This record gives sequence, structure tokens and C-alpha cells, in this order.
Amino acid sequence: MMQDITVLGIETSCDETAAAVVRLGASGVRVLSDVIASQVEDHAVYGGVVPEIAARAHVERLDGLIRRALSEAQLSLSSIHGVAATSGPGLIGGVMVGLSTAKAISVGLNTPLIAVNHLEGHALSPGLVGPLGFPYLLLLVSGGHCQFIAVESLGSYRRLGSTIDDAVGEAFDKTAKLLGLPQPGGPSVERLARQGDATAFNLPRPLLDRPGLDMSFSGLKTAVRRIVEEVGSERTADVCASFQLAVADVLAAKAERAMGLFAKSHPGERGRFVVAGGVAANAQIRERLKATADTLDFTFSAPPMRWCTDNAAMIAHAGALHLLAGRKSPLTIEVRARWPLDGAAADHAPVHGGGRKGARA
Amino acid sequence: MTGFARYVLGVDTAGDACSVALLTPACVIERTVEGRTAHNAALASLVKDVLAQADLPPAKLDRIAVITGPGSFAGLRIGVAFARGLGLAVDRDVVGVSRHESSVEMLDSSPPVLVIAPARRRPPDRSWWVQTVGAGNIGDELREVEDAGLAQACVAAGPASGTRLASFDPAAVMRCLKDAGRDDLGALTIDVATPSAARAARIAAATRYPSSRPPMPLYGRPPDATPSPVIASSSIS
Repeated sequence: MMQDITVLGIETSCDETAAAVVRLGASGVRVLSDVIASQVEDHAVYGGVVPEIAARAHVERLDGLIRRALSEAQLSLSSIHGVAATSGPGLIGGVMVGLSTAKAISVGLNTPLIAVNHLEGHALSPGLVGPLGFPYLLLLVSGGHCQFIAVESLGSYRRLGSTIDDAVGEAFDKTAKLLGLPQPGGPSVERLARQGDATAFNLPRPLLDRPGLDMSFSGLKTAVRRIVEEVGSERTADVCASFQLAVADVLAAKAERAMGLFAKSHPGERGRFVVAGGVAANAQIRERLKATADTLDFTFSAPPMRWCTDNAAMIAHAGALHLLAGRKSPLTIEVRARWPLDGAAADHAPVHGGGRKGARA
Repeated sequence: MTGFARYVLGVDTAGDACSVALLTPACVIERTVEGRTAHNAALASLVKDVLAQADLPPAKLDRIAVITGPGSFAGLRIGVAFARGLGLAVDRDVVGVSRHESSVEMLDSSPPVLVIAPARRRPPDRSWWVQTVGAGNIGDELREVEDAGLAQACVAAGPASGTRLASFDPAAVMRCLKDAGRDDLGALTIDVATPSAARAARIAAATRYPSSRPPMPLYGRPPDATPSPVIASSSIS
């Protein structure tokens, strides 16, 4: 019988400081605690996340948050079998804080350290609510990422396509900023879109005319800027609705292609389509993706919202799976601002931020 | 020096090197790795090394000292996050010590020392971090001054006041005073001050009542960010 393992997880790669305790055992996965301190307020007046402010907040709050996670889990650190921390990709100043704290705990307790790829945390997050059931097709769509990934098994990920510029959440944020709406932009734009006419403005559907699964969203933002310059702030709701529809159209069309590809490479089994990332909170986008999955006879699921956005439970979970598989990290492991999930493939064909330092994500 | 803690770990990641020191009743064990980018990779193994050499389980540490700055922001965060993480793991106090405080040896009878460190190095934006370190190696508030302010601080702290002067780079201070036309200060004696993880550990060991507030990096400057005019002027909520 499999022995229970309990892992502390730490997440500091963007503007959320988070800590969680997850237990993996014969009876499945249990999230014993999951705490998060959002910095939204700290960054609000800047109209976006300021890396230096984020890094300062992480170092100020992280140890207190870990204490809270342990106390909510009713555990002492001595009953932890390993400590997992996001070590990239992300805002490097914050990632360093989380990894350095994790290394210290690893030394102090003489317990294994597991450096976790933030994207892998998201990719495996469906496992927080049920059996993982490899393989599945994942659309990770958040403020920092937008990619289709074939998740074959633990540690085996194939990126099928990704944005070549802005992530979808980033496009929402920038659109909100252009319209003078509060951050984060996703909820602001969605709220106003409900009252708007989605056919009011004809916005582009970038890269839909091209084969493949790569996406682009920066042009959409530019189109929004032009409209704002033209019509002023009179028709904000119409702009929001038109923008959101354009995003939903692109994601649905690309998801359809992705499912076709996935089905071809996994014949004879019913495909599973999982959407993770903060943008999955958007009702219209989620509906469109679900409808697409239904049409192609894929099952559709999205982890609960708290595990769709950045969180430490998914990091603890991914760390626990690796620990169980006998993998841990050396104390000398470094942070990686750029760290694609399918490392080798991305280095050969970087679609996003390629160059001397390699693909970004 | 009277000690209130016997086994103390000192961590210094503020400068170009990553240094740790383990203070024990018998000896001080020190390790350093050079290189500004070495901190993140090196720190944890250095700590593990010194503990192993002293054959000391981490849980036997009495206290952890960390140099809080001023210095490279990334380096400071690596050090402070590590020290606080270790403090959490072994349930011990973490004591913050500034680079200036860690760089001079203060005896009970010693006069205060004005410690000067280069901040911005390129004129015309040249500036200096200054802090007066007094009894018990406790410093006053860290200040950033420009060349003119440095000359004033040197005059105020000069021989008349009984305060001594020390700097990480005495020659640079003398050059600055000369450039500022303060030939009258040419005869000042400026001692060499060198930040030290071992001294930080000794200062922490001698601290009777460590603050209950965990240390934060000593940034000395607000984050470099400008509020967005769009958001700031927006009335939409």
C-alpha cells in the first residue's frame, strides 16, 4: 500500500504570494491548506504588476503565510516530507524569494527540495480534484500564458501551439487599462461586456487564417486603442463586448483544431479537454470552449477557480507527484525566468521570446 | 563580548560575494563564494557545509543573523528570504544587521563610527550610503547622500565630535572630497570598513532582546515605478 506523503508548496512567480500543504495517499489527493495573499491592491495605481513591488511584498509576507498554511493544516513542519517551490518561469525577483525560502526549509529540516515549473503546476492541476487520467489536452490561458499542451504523463508534455506575443489575460488587462477600467482587467471587461453590443465593432481575429495552433493577441489590443481614439470613452461596454467576442472566437477556433490534432494522435479513446488559468473564469469564453468540446465529443473540465489562477496547492501537488516518482532537486538549483514545459522542443522552435536566452515559456 | 546565543549563523548576500559564517563557542567557520550571480545557487549549500563541518544539526542553532543591506536588491532578498525561511524551519529568531553595522568592530568604550559606502558610483549621480554605528554595533537610520552631503556629514562627524570615519572604499571618499573642493578635509583619517557575516553573527549573538519583527531588506529607496495616469485619473470603479 502506498504511503502518504505530505508536501509544502510555495508560489511567488507573479503577484500572488501563496503557500499550501497537499497530501498524496492511497485515498487520493487532499489539499490540507491553501492560503494566498494577493497583491492586487499594491499594484492597482500602476495599472499592472510592477516586478520590484511584487518581489518586496513576497519577501515580507511569505514566511507568515507558510506559518498560516501549516496551522490551517494542523501540522508542524516536522511532518512535512518535502518542500516544493515554483522556480520559474515568472518574475525572477519573486521566484528567487520563494525558492530561497524553500531551500532554507529544506536545509533546516533536512527534507527534500522539489523545484517545480509553474506551468507544470497548472498542467497537473486537474489532479487536485480527481484522478489525473492521462493523456489529456490542456489549454492554459492566463495573464502570463496561452498555450495548448498535450499532457501525456507526469513529466511528458508536448506544446501544440501558443501565443506568439501577449497572453490572453494580458490582453484583457491592457484593454482595461486603455479604457480606464480597474485591474485585473478580466473581470472588469467581462462585467461591462454583458451590457454591450458584441457586433458594434469589427475587431480582427489574428492568425485564424493561418494553419497551426499559434495565436496572437497584441493586434487586438492595438485595434482597441484605435477605436478608443476614434470614439472616445462613450461606448466602453460595446468595445468590451466586441473585444471579448473576438478572443472567444479565436480560442474556440484554435481549440477545435487542437482537439482534431489530439484526437489524431490518440485514436480509439475519447478525448479529454481541460482548461486551466484565470481566463477560464470568463463565462463567455468558457461556454464557447465547452460547446466546442461537446461538438467534437471531448469531455470538458476546468479546475475550480481558486486552482485555475495562481496558487500553491498546484505547486505542492506537482512536487508531491515528482517526489513520489523519486525525483528531487539539488540545493544549487537556480531560478529560470524562461522555462518552457517541453524544453527541448521549445529550444528548437521558439515561438515566443526566442533568442540567446532560449524560449520564454 | 557577552553572548546571549551560542550557535549563530550569519548570512551575507548583499555584495559581490555570498558569505556565511557559523559562530560556535569553540570557533568561527566561514565560507565564501565570489560572484554577484552566485548567491542563489551557492547560499544553501554553503550553509549546509558549515553546519556539517561543525557537526551541528540545524535545530541546534540558537539564532540566525542576516545582513539586510544596503546592497543588490536581488542579493538582499535571497539572503533575507533564506534567513527567515531557516528561522521558520528551526523556530529561532532572525536578527537583521546592516552592512554598515557589520563592518566595524565596536568595543564598549569605542566612539561612534560614521560608516560610508558607495551607492551610485557614476557622476553626476554619485551618492553614498551613510550610517553612524554606535554602542553595541547599533546604527542610526541609513541615509543616502550626494557628494555635498557626504562632505557635510564628514565635517559634522569629524575629529571635533569624537566620531571616527570608516568606509568600504576610503580612497573613493577622499577623491570625492577633493573633487568637491574640500581640501580642508584632506587630513581626515578614514579607516577601512569591511562587511562581515561573522561579525553580523557576533552582533546577533550579543543582542539581548531580538526584535519580534522579522528583518526586511534595507532598500533605502522606494520601488522604481510611476503610477499610471489613466488609472490614477479614472473615476470608474
